[in-house]
Amino acid sequence: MKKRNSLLRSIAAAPHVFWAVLFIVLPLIIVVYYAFTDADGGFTLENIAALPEYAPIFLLSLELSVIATFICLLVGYPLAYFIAKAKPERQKLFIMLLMLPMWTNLLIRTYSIMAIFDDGGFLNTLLGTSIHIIGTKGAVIFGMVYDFLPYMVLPIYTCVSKIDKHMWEAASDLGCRPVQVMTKVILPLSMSGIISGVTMVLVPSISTFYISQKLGGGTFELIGDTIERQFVTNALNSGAAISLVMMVLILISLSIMNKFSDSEEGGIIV
Amino acid sequence: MKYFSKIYIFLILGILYIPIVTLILFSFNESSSTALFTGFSFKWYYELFRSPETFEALRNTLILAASSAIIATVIGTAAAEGIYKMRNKLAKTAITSVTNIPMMNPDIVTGMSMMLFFVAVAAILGISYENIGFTAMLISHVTFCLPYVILSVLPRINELGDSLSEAALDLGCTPIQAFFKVKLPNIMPGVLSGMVMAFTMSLDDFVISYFVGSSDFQTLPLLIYSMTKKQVKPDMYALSTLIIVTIFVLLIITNVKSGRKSAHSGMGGKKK
Amino acid sequence: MTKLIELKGISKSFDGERVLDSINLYIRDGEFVTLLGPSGCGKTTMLRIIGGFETADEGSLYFDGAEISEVPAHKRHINTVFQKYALFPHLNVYENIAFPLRLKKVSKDNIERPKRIPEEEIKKRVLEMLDMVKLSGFENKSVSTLSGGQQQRVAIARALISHPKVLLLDEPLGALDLKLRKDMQNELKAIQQSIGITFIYVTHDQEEALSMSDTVVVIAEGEIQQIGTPTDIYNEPTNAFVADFIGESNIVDGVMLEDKKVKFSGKVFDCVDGGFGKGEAVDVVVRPEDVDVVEPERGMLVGKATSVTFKGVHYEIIVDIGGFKWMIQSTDYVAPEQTIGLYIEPDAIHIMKKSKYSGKFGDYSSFSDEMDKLSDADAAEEF
Repeated sequence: MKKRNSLLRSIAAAPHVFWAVLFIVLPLIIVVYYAFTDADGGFTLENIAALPEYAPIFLLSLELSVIATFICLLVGYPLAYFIAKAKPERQKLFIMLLMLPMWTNLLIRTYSIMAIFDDGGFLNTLLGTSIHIIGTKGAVIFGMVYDFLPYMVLPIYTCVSKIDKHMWEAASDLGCRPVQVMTKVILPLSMSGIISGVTMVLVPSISTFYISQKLGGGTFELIGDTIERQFVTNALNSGAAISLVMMVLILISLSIMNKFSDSEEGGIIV
Repeated sequence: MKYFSKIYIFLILGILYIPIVTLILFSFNESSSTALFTGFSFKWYYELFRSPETFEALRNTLILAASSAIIATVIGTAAAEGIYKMRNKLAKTAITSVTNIPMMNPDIVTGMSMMLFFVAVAAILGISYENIGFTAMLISHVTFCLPYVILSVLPRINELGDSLSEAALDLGCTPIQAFFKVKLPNIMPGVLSGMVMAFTMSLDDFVISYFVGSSDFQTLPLLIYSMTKKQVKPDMYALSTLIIVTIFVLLIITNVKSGRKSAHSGMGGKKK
Repeated sequence: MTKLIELKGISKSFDGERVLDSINLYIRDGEFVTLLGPSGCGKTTMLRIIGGFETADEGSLYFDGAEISEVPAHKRHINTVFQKYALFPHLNVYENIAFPLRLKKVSKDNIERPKRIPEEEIKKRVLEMLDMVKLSGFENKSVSTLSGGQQQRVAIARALISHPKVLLLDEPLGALDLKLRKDMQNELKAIQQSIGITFIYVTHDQEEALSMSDTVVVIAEGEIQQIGTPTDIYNEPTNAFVADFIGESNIVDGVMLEDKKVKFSGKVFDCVDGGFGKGEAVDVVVRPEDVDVVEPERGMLVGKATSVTFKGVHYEIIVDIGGFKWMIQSTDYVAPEQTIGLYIEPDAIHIMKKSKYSGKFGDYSSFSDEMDKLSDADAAEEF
């Protein structure tokens, strides 16, 4: 009786559980299957054994995305902080202005940067110069920062705006200098926002292929490009192996990061 | 300090808008250059509207976004209610973690896994992949929208607590009546914002559609991608401008609506 | 009067912690019963089991002679007024009250298919209810614009409109301020008497319990300590816990010398209680208002006043008698540090058997007004 009752209580979740098993868990199992088989379906470790040759690509992706995430944090934290300290009706406006680029398709945003920085693009035409920007690491990093900055700002903003305004007064009342108020009180309190911001920038940056295609001018291959190329050339087994490793690495680092953020909404929703 | 913070905000927001404004500007360019503005014209918009491809992609995108938003909202709202009622902490954590996988995972991995899954399904059913194109796309979109719906509904249900449902039961409602007559009207803002978020996510998705989609079902982001692969003409700018304006209008509508209730809750974040 | 509700051996645990320990209790038809106890004593759980929101781990629940342990809440003829009212924010006052009627389907004779209650009848009954709770004219207001007292009335009207046999009230006055609380106490009692159904009322406020109830059930640590009329509970507490929880009490260790003779604080006193063994250790209760302050030489007990606080109607005096601090309420002023005598009438002395609560209560040595208030506030917040 008890048992049936407790199952019945959550019956509403049943369609979702069914859906999640069928369309989340099962596809992931198939990825594992592909990663350990060859094109004919026979078991092989070749795909996994071949992974070290992608290590330089992976490290480059890591390098660029970590730099981009760091710049996002550096630029985004003050932005989020200042917005959170603005007048309430201004805050709404600023956040809306920040969200519009975010909701604009990534392809459009990336392409518009390319159009500006291209060799014969808007900037060079405007200045009458021929500075070569597309194809540099800097251009790719700029693209990542530009595309994903709002994802850094929004969670930090939400976090900072929830901090009781008396915190600032209490901290200075207890003898903190303005810098100490920031480092000892506000920064630790906004940690959960920073962590979800970092997650939301790092994950799409490290796995992007469009940004590097357009702004890397074909000179770079990031790990996303590798997977995409294998998808296009139908080298699915090898693509599955790389995807699998990337997923495992990312899920592990996310769960480590979530351990550090004590807040329950360490997730994604702002 | 006050001035500095203002200048800083305007500076960064300004930089964020330069590319978008440039893009809108050149969509009205007379010549086909995307670097030199030669004169104002609606030429590229005419060209865009002449192409049946655009309309088909637009129609596909809207059908896909609307149906995946509705399905995800129904399943997700029911799931949130079920998860809320779940007493077994372990099962609760397991379900939420699995649900969040598509949200945490890079899109490219989700796209890859979905594609492999449907390839396998098509092989087992013995049909060509093209024949399940729309279904595959729909299922993928519902799957990555679900966590956002649940994340937007669950906090509302938690906040509402049991007291109203208990009052309804006490006054004679069956559990089902209590949900529809009392709980649902009170969590409606969360359900609606979840639906809007799912709709926008689906509208906006490129990576997963790119992997899962087949040639017979083209959406706007896929169309844009194929346009940027070739020599770009400002007709792509015109299309982008229209999308940006639409999103801007949608954003204003949802913000004005939710703004009346609270400053923060109507705001949706996304990871893409 | 018949037994309307009966609890037999009801036990309940949450996360391994026993909240109710084999509760046996019956409630008669038309009675106003109060479940009284400190926060966390299990009284709300008991109410929720009766209402059908929790199922007991052990024991059974009877309603009108039939077991209803497994009957879901919506099928019980029992309605509840919730702690924070639980009014439906998406419905106005009228629709909140009409809510139960709109769910019901009735058949006039048993042949016809059940039909919805006609709109005119709903209107008539809702207006009657509004009239009863003195909210006529409020029907189109949104519930969020109402004051706490008005929300309370709407909750009562909504719970009563479908004519339940029992009304459960879970600390319904907790959120109201003192003055309003007193008014609502009288009104609730009046409503209960006019409609004549059973009210089961949960509170941690002893004064509320004493002034409204026909029967008070004192609960502590998941067990029933005493069941009785308010006068019984006040005058004849069964143990130190009840004596302390209901009103103020000085509780001292004593020894029964023989029937109607008790020795405490080194003196022998006449009393009116008997039936204890000779030389049996007992708890002696003396209420602060039952002690007279007299000249030291006429006093049965003599001590020094350590603190005197003006309370409006009387002074509250803490007197040190051989290291044990007594609380005395007197209308006569006594200067602090003054030595005074205390005079106690035999019928002011109440003798109780020793219990597990002996020695824990009834000494005012650490007493201060401020602490009392603080702990009260804590208790209130936990709800």
